[in-house]
Amino acid sequence: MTEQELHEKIIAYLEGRLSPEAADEFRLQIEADEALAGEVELHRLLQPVGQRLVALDMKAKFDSWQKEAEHPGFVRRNLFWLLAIGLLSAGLLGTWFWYSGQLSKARADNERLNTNLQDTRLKNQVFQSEVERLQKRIADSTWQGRLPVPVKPEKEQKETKISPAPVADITQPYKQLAQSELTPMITRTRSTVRGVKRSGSTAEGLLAKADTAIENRLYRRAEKLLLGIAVTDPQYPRALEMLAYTYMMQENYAAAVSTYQTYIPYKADSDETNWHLCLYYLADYPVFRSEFQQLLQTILADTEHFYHDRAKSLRKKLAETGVWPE
Amino acid sequence: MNRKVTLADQEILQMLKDKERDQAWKYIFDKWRGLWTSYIVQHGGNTDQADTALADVWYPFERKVLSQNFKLEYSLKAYLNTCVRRQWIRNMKKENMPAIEFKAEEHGLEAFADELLRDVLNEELKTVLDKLLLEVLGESCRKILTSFYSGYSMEEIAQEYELGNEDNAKNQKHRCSNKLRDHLKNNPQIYQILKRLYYD
Repeated sequence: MTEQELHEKIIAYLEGRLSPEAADEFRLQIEADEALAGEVELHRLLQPVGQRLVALDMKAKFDSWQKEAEHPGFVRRNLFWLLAIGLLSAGLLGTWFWYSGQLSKARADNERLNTNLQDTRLKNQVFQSEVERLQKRIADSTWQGRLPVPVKPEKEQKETKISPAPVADITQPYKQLAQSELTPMITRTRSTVRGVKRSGSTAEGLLAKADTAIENRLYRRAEKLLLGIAVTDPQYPRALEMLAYTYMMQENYAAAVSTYQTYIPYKADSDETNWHLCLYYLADYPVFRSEFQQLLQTILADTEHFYHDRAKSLRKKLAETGVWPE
Repeated sequence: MNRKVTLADQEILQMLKDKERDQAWKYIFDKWRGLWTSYIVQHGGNTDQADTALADVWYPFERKVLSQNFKLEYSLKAYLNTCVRRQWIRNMKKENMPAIEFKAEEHGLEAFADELLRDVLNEELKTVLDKLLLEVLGESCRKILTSFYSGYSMEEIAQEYELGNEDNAKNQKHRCSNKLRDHLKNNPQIYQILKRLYYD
């Protein structure tokens, strides 16, 4: 048995943790061994050490708690100021919330006013573009030596045999139908422009540039270029054809119709020009509905017409979409 | 510290058993101390004397209430209150200062309290032990032995003082105990004083 084990056994004996048999046996050993008895006596006298150590530890804690009670911590000592700061902070926070609420309300009002302003501007733009369109129509008619296409009054329209369809909304599909029919036509024209062998004339250069501009949807630029081709130039008819398309793409339908009408005498194939004119009318159906309907009826009545079947198909689509008849 | 306003006796006992001694005694110190302190002050004592009496009795009180044969017949508060008051009277008598006697019918707890107070170390013994501890033990030995006698396991001590493992803690505790033993063995004067106080 090591010294450590012996000491542990002595402590266990003194604290009564040995079994009765082991304790009796150990007692006999103590009685028989003087050195062991001395060791046991030393441990017996040191027994209160544990109690005293723990008591001192706890006393230190009592003192600390006492000090804490007598001298409260930072929070308790500064309770008044902390409360004051808390109330002030709460007040400031409340003010800030109120202010931010007011601010967001003002922002919402501002946004609403801006929206209204934008709406008004948009309406103004629409009116402005309408004015411009009408002005352009007059100017174009003058340029082509023709009077502007008159918009027939309501009474006059009623007198025609075919009752015109009511004016459809601008987003109606007639515009799409017209464009979808006319786009392949202009594509063909443009391909001939691209395919032509350049002679180096100015008109050819302008046509090529206009073709590029159309390709890039720069219709205003295309218009300017095409207008630069002289009436006497051999490329003038082709320029007119492209110009009509350019106007249509700018939604300047009156100019488109007028320009195409100027182009018609240059083209021998009347079936094709009739059909295309019909489509230009269709592009601005609310304005040219009478002209469109009359021309389409003419094409439909002529079973020999080259575009008779396409006219029938168009008529069907118009009926399906509720454009004509309603 | 448990934020609960009042703890039942069983809860306090459980805290003591679960080695939440500090929390339990902090609660007792905060909530019950006023009871005996006001009594002692009313009868000519002061708060220091009240705290000294509490420091004297708390260890035997804890040992007693945690012993297996302890039966909770009275409330812990009343029991401790009686113990502290009677210890204060004993301290007063030792210093030859007048202190009032308890009325016999006060709680019926006097017998229990007196039995407990027999385990309170007397002042002379405390003085000798304090001197011995101061002379012999360094800070680390003092901490290790305090933790050991406070009921912490060797594993917990090894963790607390970074001693590596349980065996190291056990060896360290043994070395510290041996310092006291050797000192006592080599100082017959102290040995004799302790022997006299122990068997008195």
